[in-house]
Amino acid sequence: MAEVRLANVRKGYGEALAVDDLSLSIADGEFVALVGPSGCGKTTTLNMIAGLLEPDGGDILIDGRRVNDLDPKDRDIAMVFQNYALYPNKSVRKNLAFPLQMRGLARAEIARRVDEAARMLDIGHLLERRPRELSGGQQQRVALGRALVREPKVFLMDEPLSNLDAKLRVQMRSELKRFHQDLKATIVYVTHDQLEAMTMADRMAVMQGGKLQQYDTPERVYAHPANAFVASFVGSPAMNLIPVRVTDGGVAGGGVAGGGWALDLPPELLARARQARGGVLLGIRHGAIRLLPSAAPGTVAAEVLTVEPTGDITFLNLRLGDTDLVASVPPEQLIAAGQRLWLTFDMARLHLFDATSERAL
Amino acid sequence: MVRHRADYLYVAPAVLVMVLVIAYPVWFTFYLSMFSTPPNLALEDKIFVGLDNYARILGADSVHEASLNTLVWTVASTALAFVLGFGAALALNRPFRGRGLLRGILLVPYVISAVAAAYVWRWLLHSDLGVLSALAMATGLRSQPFNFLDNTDTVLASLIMVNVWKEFPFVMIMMLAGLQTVPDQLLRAAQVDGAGPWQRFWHITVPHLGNVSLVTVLLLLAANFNGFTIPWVMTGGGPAGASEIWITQIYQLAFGRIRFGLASAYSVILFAVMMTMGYFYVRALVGRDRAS
Amino acid sequence: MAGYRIGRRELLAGAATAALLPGALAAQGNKTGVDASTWTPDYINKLAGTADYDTAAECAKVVPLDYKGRLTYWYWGVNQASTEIERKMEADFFAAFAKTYPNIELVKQNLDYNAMLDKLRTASIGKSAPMVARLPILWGSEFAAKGQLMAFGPTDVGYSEDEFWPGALKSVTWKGKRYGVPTNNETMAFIWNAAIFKEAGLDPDKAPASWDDVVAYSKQIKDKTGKNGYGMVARVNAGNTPFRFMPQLWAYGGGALDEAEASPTYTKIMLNSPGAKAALQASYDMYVRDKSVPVSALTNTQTENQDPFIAGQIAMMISHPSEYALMIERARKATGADKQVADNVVANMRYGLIPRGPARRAVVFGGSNAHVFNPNIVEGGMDLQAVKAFVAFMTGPEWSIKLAWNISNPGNVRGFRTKWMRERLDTIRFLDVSTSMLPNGIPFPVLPQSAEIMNIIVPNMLQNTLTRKMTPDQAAENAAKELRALINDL
Repeated sequence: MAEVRLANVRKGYGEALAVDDLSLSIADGEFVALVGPSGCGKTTTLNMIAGLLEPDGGDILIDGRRVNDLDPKDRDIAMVFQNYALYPNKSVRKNLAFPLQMRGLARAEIARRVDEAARMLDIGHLLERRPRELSGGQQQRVALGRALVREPKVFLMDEPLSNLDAKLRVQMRSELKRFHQDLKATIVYVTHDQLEAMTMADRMAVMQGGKLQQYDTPERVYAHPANAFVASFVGSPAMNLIPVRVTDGGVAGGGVAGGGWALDLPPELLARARQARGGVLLGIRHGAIRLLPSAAPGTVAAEVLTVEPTGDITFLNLRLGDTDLVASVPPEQLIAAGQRLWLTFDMARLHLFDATSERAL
Repeated sequence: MVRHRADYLYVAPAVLVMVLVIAYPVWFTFYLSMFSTPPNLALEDKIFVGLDNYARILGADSVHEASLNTLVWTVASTALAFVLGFGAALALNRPFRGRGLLRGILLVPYVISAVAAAYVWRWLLHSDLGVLSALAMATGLRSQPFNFLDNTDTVLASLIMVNVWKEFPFVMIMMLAGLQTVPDQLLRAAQVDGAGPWQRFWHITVPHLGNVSLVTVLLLLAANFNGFTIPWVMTGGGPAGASEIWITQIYQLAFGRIRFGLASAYSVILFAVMMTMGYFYVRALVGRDRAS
Repeated sequence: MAGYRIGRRELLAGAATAALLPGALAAQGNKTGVDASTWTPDYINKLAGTADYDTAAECAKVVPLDYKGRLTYWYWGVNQASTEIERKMEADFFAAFAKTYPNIELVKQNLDYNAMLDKLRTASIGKSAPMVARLPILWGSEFAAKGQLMAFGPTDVGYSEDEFWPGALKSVTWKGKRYGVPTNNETMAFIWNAAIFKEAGLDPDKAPASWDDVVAYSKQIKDKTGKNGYGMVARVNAGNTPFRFMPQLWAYGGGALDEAEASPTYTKIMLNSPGAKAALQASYDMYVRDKSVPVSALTNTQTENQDPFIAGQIAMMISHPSEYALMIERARKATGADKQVADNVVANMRYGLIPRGPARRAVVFGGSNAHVFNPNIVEGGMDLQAVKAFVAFMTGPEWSIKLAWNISNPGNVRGFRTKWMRERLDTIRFLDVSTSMLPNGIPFPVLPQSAEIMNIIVPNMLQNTLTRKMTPDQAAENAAKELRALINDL
């Protein structure tokens, strides 16, 4: 296994930059997720690491070696594709053997590695089948196997679970995680699903518009988003972002006829809020909102719009002033639409962002 | 119940046309093939001879010669057109400057009228005044004109060349369409797996193009088997029958010798061969579909 | 002043070809009728302009001029390639007929030569044939044999049979009955490029006298000038080939059947006669041994010889009378350096008689006939009076010659006495020469199988010889075998 380092990598198409000055390092044996919405540049980055695309600027190093000019086959990497990309006219065994044949390995060695991979991924009984005879999950494992037999330095995975149904996806997620643990492999994993990134990655790199937004462990990205984008992207349902004005005592939000609402902030939060030039975005996750049936000091009033019970937790869509919020309550608590509730926010889990730059304050 | 009746109504006009234009003539040909229609008798006075016409045709030496010519003509034209068209498609598959223009130019042989093309080629290859010969003689390569068409040894090959020139763009278009459906990800996976360009072509592109190739080859075989215009216009089946194929013989039998009965029997034989080819075609296609 | 009587005795006693010489000549005591040598260019010139005929008056004797009726007529008429004068004559013809018979509605169809035969065959089967059609001489026997023509002859339109060439009458006869009226007849002649002859050391003003001379001249021309000598044509299923090869075949004493004899039976096969084999040998000598003819002869029709001739690349060939006008046209269209060459060729063009052979001098008797279709297959029924009026009009001396202006000669021999013949002789160069071949004309066998014999069996024989697939001997025997099978099929 090896470490991967990107230094100021740039890739443009015409006027637009798909990847803009990207720098990050992936440690040996680390599982890193590149996550972001469509078009953020994550797949382009992965393809550049693989050698399928040439960067316009910057360096890519694998195991300390600059690989910009190397063909994919010379970079000692293996790739797993979203559509599995299994060779349809070959049996599973031949699919697994193909990269080794291209390498020119001896037949005995090829057979050994294929059987080893098959055993590890539990696809030994499928070796003589064709890909079209396999289920989605089985195909995924074969794709993994094809990468595995190469014994590469780095595994590159391009949204490998996107084609699976929800249930299978959950199952495969844990299998992949086990795969990572067993092999201690360096894995670069591209996904648009922040939940996948959260659950599987050691570190996640959130990208948007070709730029790296934040690169940290999932816990820290979740708890301390660097900007409003990361804040709303990570975590589901998304963090509530409420535009507010800074007042003498705290913040005040807009309101419908009758005035808005106001909230006092503790001193250090207030000091941070004052750093903003213009307005401020208040960020609070649904779990950090407490709901009270009646008014109390430090609460603001909100109206329940809809109630969404999910079994384990019930989500509430609330109207606070002129913004909507999502809050949650345990499933036993029965709330009705139209009900009035009073909210308090957990100040320890309150986030502030500059409304103009969207940076965390 | 009502819904189904409407379906039949929708199909009826097409079926009617087919019956009139295809089924009736086919039936009549079968019918006529069992009669002798000498030129001195009106058609209503034709003489019933049963399968005699078939026996005469299957036993005729000139038919045997034409059969060999037909085989060579069909197989060679198809194979060469396929290879040339496939090559052109591969070359045009990646973008380069002037690609659109080149693609347009390469289409020209296919779209121009067969008769016009045949006449032009006849003069290009003319044994006394052909342009190719004139060029060769002017540059000192030859002292005598090339004899392509008035030569029993080379006439069939020359006609095949003209035929290939005419129809390779068809293959090019079909294969280009097929090439563009080769999944990109599969090629990338192979690239990552270490396959070079030729290996990617052989392991991924070629198997993927199986269906398209099969369709193209079979369509070509059918078209070439019946390819009338080029041989007829250029040499009329000559010299001395060296470029005679089944279809030109049938035409000459029907409209040169006015033996409608014999020609009908000959046509029925041709029909049988084409239907057999069609059967294997459909079987192969369905087989592939079922497998995938 | 119409024709005179030729007795049956004379007819039978006639030589290989039959020519009728009307009027004055007969009076000069030529009771035996046929004497090919008298029909000289000189005599033809003397004959022209010596008589005048009133077409309307003659037709009125058959059908009154105010007759009201309807007529359908199919013909092979002017097309894109036709000359000015042909167009004018055709237009004048229809205008004149309309003037003469204003109450006859004429529905005409001008068909392309290549399509016409198939269209007529189809129409006949489908019972939608026209009332009258004007067909090339070879086509009629097929329809007659199938009972698709109505018995109809010159006497039905008020003319005597003496007014028509016996060869032409042969071509409208089936099983002893007449099935048409000859409209025009032509024979080909021999043209050569005097300049090339001179260049090769041959007398520029004399045509080769015999076919053996043609072979020798061809070789000399090729050897001395590098240009091709004789413009051979040997393509299968092309009408030109038999028109050029049969004269050679007949000249040497051969034939397909016995069509060259005075009274042919059309049952004796002559394709493998010594004469036929000699003719084949002559072609073989030119193409294979001496290589003095175009290599492309195997796939050429006469059209493909015209451009090389006008470009001075071919020395001599058998030529239809209309080709002179065609050559002038081509020369006119030439540009640049080609124009000078073409003009030179035109200036050096000479016309002469087709060479003779050991047996005879022969040429194909060509032309057209007017046929009337059997009423039971005519679309819309038959109007016999209208038909008679039209055929009388068309086959009389005036229109017989006018409609044949450029490319043929009048079928009605009285036409040779008209002032229009004088005009033609004055304006069409070499007309007297090509006309003088008429007595040597032999029509193709008057059988429905004639097309197959002439377009396929004979050219195949030629091609088998020239490609050396068979020896001349084998090719002749093979062709005779095919012909025998064909005749027996009857």
